[in-house]
Amino acid sequence: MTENPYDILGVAHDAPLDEVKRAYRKKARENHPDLNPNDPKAEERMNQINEAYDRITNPDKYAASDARKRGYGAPYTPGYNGYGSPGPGGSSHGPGGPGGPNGPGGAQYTWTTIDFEDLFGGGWGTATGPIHPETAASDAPDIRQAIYLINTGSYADAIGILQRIPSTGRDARWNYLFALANNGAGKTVAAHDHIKRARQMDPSNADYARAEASFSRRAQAYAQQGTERGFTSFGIDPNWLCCCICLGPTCCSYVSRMFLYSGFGF
Amino acid sequence: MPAIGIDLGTTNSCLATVEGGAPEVITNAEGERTTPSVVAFTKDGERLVGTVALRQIAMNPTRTISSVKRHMGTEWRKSIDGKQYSPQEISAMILRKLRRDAERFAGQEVVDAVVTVPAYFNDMQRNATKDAGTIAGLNVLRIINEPTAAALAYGLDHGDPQMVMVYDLGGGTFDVSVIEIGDGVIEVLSTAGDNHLGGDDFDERLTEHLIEAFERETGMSIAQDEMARERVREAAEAAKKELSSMESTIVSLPFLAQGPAGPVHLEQTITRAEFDRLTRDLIESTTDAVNQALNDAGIAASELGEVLLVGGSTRIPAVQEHVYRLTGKRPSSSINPDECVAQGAAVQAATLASARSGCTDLMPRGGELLLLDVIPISFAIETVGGVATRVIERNTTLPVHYEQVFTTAAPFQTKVEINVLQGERPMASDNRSIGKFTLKGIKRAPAGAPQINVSFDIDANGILMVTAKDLGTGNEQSITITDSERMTDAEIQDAIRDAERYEAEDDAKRASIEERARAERLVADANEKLKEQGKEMEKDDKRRLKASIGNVQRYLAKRPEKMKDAERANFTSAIQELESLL
Repeated sequence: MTENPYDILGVAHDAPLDEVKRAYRKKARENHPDLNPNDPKAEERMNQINEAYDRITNPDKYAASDARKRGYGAPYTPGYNGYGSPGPGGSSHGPGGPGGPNGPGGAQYTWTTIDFEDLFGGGWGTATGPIHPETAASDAPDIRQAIYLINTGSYADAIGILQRIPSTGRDARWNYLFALANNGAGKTVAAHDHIKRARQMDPSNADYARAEASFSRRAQAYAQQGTERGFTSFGIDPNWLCCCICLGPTCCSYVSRMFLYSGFGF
Repeated sequence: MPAIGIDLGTTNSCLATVEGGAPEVITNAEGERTTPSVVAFTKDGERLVGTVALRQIAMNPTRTISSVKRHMGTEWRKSIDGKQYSPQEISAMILRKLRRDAERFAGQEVVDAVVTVPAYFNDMQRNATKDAGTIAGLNVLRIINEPTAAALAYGLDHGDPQMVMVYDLGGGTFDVSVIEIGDGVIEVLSTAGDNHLGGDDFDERLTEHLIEAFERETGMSIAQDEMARERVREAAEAAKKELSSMESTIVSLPFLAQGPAGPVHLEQTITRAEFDRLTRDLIESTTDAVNQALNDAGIAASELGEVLLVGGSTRIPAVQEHVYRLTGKRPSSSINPDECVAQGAAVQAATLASARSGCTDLMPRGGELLLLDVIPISFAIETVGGVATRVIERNTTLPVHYEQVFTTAAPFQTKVEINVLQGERPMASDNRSIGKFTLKGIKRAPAGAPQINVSFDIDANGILMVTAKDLGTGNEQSITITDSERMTDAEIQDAIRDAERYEAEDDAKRASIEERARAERLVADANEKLKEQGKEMEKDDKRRLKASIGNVQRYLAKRPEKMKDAERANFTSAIQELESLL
């Protein structure tokens, strides 16, 4: 999407969330294909409105892909093995890859459910055993209690405490602790979702990165296996990708280099 | 032409339409507000749907199908008299009966319908439901989620901005949705659930318990006796319902089995506490979905304005207690758990139909409500290393368009297979594969050179359409969907023809029954006339009337199914002649 999401919804760039919500509902009523069945363009407009609203309410979700898009503006030497295949434990970005492990090129993998940047580029290695979060001076009493419960292995109770915290209090730290509690309780999908959210809200926090790396070990093992079997990955000409972004009338937000698992030829 | 809303339930279905701006439940031909979702094939090939099918289930368990909804979107088939019936075709028989009931109510043809599905139905199950509607001759305007429909019915009367949770525990499925209402928009924030949890499971627990106790007491085994089992299951279901209002109930089944010393009876007292103990883990298993829905919506239970209970199983006191424990809110009693889903579907049907026709008199009161629904389960594709790469996250608002560029992984590859998945797990093998798309005819090129733009469009129905375009050549590529469980168009057409043929036969049968009833009534009237006015009648008239009665009676004596077409026509004219003489 090239247009500013606030412009699409027709609100000021610093409009409070409830005003954005009202504007979204109004736009939705005006443009939704259900209420405009004879307008062939309605669905397209509604797709745009949905994405604009999502961008404003979930900015974290788009931060990585936007950074990636900006990164593609940089000069790039075409070469299909440019990125190399991700190897375990360290940065193996080839000479063609723009930027270092934490540069825009390094973020290329973030659109997958596994964050390879941290698995392979961050150099965290593998964390073992349960993670013990520490209380901070700024923590509210219920957060402190949740941390205590996580550290004593009472994961279900920790989940219960955290769930009672209303939406306004659900920051990166809340998501981090909620992920740890869910991971401890064996709910890996929820753990994954929430650590991802924590990382998006606060990408620089080392604790969150370590936790995510630790949750991803199983996936890492699988990916390694894939590499050993001879899967390789290839890049797409980034200039061409830019064309695609312009061509696509609607959201093209995650466009990035893509792989295709091939059932043939191996 | 009115548009209808259909709640196609696991155990019961319900039908509604908007009349004078308000959703009204349409009673079926049997005078009931809900229709059992049961289909039966009698020994002589007659098809029964609804209460009549339900009534004969113990006598005819192998040719009666209940809870077919649990099989939607699977390869399950029912073999009857050498014909294989898919879940879609069985569901279509229920939908066709409902459509007929709607037409009887409206006095005109009814085609447009909104059909509901559990929010947690995946893409295949939604498609199967849509196909069932098509086979039944319906134009399915929309497939909507059951909890959303319930919220729509609720939102019609409670428009003030608020967040509500819908806890929907039906006969066979369980859903939770968190929904925000305000400014004429009903927005689903999150949804979660379990496609295989519902009242049937509660019945099963109690059935097992009764059979075990019976076998322990008598030393006899009835587990293999299908008819006895069905009787116990029916009694268990009735006991479960009674335990919602009473503390204990007696299950009494005389002559359940034949023992060496004569017939053996089952008689047991079940208390509510005992029932709760048997089903506690079922109720507990709904906890995760409730928490997930709240977490995905990003709110605490304390932020909810209202909790709505939907589905017959929410009448169980322990379920209500559990919801209260989880949310701290007493569930709302302002909606009918059996009817609100169909009512909400009718509201959506009216909104869509009036927007399409521009005819506002169909519209629900308070103007149209816009429904903004979400996809319940994330869509992913399998990428290098067996990883499930999410393309569209769960709880993304519909409609959504998304596109990605794909390329080949091997040199000179001319075709590729994309495995489309639905699920939340990081590895492809842990998710459900909902379709494999094979792109063919790619120009031979080094690996990574071909550029194939694949776009995912999920329309407001939540149904996924994938199109692929080779950007190198500008050609749209043909995509072969190799999903064995999805019916092809040809299969759907066959099924429609089949259903219509059977309907025509049923119609003929019904017409014949009506005609015979009319003939019998006329004969009685004629005999009455002869008795009362015989003396005053002209001799000729009297003779003619007597002859005409005899003529009609001659046809009445014949078995209707043995009559040939010509005879049937003669019968009709004989009736007309008799009628003209009266």
